[in-house]
Amino acid sequence: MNRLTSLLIRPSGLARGLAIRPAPFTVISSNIHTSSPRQNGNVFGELTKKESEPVPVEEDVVQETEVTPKNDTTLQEYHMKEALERQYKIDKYVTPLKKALFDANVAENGFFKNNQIVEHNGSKYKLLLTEEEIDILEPSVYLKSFRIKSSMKKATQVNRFVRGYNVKTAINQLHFNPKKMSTELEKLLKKGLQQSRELGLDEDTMYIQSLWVGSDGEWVKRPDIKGRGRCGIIEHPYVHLRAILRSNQTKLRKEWEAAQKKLQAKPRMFLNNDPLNFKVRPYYKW
Amino acid sequence: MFLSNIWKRALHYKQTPKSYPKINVKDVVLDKPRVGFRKEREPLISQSVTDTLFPNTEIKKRYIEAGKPVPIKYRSNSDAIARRNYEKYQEEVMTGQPHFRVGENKIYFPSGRICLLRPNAKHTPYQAKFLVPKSMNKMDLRDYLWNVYGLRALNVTVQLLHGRFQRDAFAYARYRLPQYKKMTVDMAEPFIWPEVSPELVEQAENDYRNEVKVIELKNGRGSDLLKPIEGFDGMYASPELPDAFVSRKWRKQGETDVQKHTAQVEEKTEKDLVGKFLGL
Repeated sequence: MNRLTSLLIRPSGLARGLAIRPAPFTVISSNIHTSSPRQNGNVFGELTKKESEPVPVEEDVVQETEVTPKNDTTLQEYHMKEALERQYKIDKYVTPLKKALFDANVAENGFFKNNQIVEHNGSKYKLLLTEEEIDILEPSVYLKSFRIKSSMKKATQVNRFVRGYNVKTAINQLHFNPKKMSTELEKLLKKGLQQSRELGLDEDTMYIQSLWVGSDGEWVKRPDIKGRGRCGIIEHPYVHLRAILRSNQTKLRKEWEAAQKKLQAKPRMFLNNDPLNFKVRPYYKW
Repeated sequence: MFLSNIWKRALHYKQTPKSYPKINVKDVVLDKPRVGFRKEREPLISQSVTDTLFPNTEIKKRYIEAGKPVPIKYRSNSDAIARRNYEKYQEEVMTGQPHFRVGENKIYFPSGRICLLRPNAKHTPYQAKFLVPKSMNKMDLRDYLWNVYGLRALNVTVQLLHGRFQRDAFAYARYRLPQYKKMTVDMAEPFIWPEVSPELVEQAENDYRNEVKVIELKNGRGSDLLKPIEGFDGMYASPELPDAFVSRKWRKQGETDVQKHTAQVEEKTEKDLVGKFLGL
């Protein structure tokens, strides 16, 4: 406020000291205009006057470590809590006993054998699981791609190519495939390898159990102007990829189940074992 | 001769070369010059006076000396008026008085936005450009600058910008954005904007980039919402944990199973505690 009032007052001290003497009319000298008393070497005077140099602050007294998002533990804990809530984990959907029995079975056999007796905490259990329960309990990596500008048809061609492949083989094949969707899928599978490593699974034996494409929604549409007053719709499709990777455990289990099925199958009869459907006579009828 | 001429005029057949006008070829000038054929005139007397600020009296005198009528333009005593005004102006400048009639309308809390803008390439250091409200006129700005900053605006020019066209996603037609008024002021002394420190510029650019990244992801569609949010040094980046595959149906059922199980376990522990307390 004080500064402002000092500006607003019409100063006349400098003007008083000067004798008012009109310059010759033919010459317009530039110093005629420089009579502003509040110039201070600058048009805006005190407003833009340089302040005195700041006093150097003693840095030894206060030592503050800079907080960044990377080393902010509270923030990282918060993010981890959120991520854990979002994560699909087996413990959230299966009771602990079932999980323990499944693990004991796997530890004993190397993979899950259904309808077997396992010992747990001194007591014996016979664990019979449905196909869906086994699917949940066996280790898996569920992969989701981001939004991809492509169509289901284009994606399916690539998906069929690598479905059921070992992940590393699939990546190898896709790397040398010139299709756009191959690149996208390769990126996704590489993320899958990384995640299976995090889960402590053997990345060399991981395979693509299922792989599918879905519409990602909100397709952009625009008119396709045609002749004769007609028009169609041009759609710009967007898709996403989803994949489930499974470990060697699943492969071994399936092989074992197939072998069991084969063992239990009845021997194949090439002829009907029924009684003959006509009268058998000891002579020719013709 | 006279009759023959009339007859010629009345006849509507093609003229023969015999009756063509007789002209010497040397007299014919093809492609007449467009410049330099006009009559050269003497320079005006009024143009001869060049070295004074107030030339009217001198011009008048010269016309009278030459015995020619003085043009109306130079008959008035405008010279005297101009000289008087100029002297007054000089005096005002010397004494620090305003060089114009200061406005009498008092405004205590002006609400208009007046921004000093950075100069363009065409401006000299003796010019300052302001963004002003559209309702403001030259005199208003001159008064404002004088009263608030004591700045003498020697000349004020106005630039009223056109309203740019805008196309909206939800509007059928384009429409105009507001017009902006800018005023350029001539000053007695130069003013040069201070340089912006490169760190500040870098910081601003970095912030802008970060914000763009976040906005892009927030506006993402479909599976793009799964993307981790980069920018701001990973402030919003949440760790990406590996998911197991559990179908939606089984997620629902499994959650209820686990909830039931935990409830049972809790109930059992509580019962045991109570039993222990009662000695059952």
